[in-house]
Amino acid sequence: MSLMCTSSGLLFRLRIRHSDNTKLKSLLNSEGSLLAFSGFPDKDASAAGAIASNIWTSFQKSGQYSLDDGKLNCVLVECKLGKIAITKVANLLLCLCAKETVSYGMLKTKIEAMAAYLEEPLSQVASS
Amino acid sequence: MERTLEMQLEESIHNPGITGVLCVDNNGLCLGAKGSAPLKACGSISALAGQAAKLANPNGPTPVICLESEHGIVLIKKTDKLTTALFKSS
Amino acid sequence: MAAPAHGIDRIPDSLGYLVLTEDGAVISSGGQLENDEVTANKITKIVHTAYKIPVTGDSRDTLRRISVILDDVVFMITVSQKKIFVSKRHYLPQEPVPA
Repeated sequence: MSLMCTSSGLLFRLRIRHSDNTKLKSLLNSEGSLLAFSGFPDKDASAAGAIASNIWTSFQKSGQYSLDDGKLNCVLVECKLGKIAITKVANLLLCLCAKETVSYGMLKTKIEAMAAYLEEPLSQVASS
Repeated sequence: MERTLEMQLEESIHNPGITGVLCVDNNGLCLGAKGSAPLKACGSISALAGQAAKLANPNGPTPVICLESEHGIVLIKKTDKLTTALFKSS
Repeated sequence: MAAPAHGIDRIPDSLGYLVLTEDGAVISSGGQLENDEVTANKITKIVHTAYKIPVTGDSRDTLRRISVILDDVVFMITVSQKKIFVSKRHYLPQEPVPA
């Protein structure tokens, strides 16, 4: 677990499941600033991170208002050039961008697996 | 992580008569497909497997559903977290 | 039996049969499935879902028969003249022929 306390350790955890089909993985705090990422050059990642965080917050708000349920689990977005999945890990957001050829089921399974993998170390960081 | 699934799908499509394979999760989202499997039918396949399971004994094995038309057959089977559909030509 | 069963009641070694309307109302029934509205509803749902799945790429090649194979019984379902015909039978799998 001490590995996770360094940023290189975090990057290692993000990279470990990197495959050809995912373009970008990033960890964001609740304001949408980038904590760690693996994939794209820096500029793209911070822009994508801000957009992802915005999407997440607006869905969570509308869920709270219209469905009376603020427990948003996962957001899947289909774009022209790819698919995006966003989920919550500890008090942070995990965002995964994939090629358009990746199927939704696989993307959701991937992000769930990654979230479970990062959950324990990140919640230790969050609580400390 | 999807390598194993892709390999299994690739292997099954090489069986004689098989035209397509489709794997769907319990939410009706596609996990993987090979051959000429209709991706639009993912949701229906998962729903059908769920409805057919209600006919069976809840502690027993899940049913196999077989859809037949003049020129083709679809075989559907649900396992714990996965529903698999095989498309065959007859 | 007042309602017509269209000969489905004469199928040999059948365990039960159902004739349903499109929306699942029982027209005729017999054997183990006699007045079994619960099964009738489940089967109607299955039929409606199954028709949404294209069996082949050709849209003219429509569904002819649905079989739901449980442990040792099989439900054979077909649709004709806007009626759903269901026959419940023992399932005797054929031994696979070794190639």
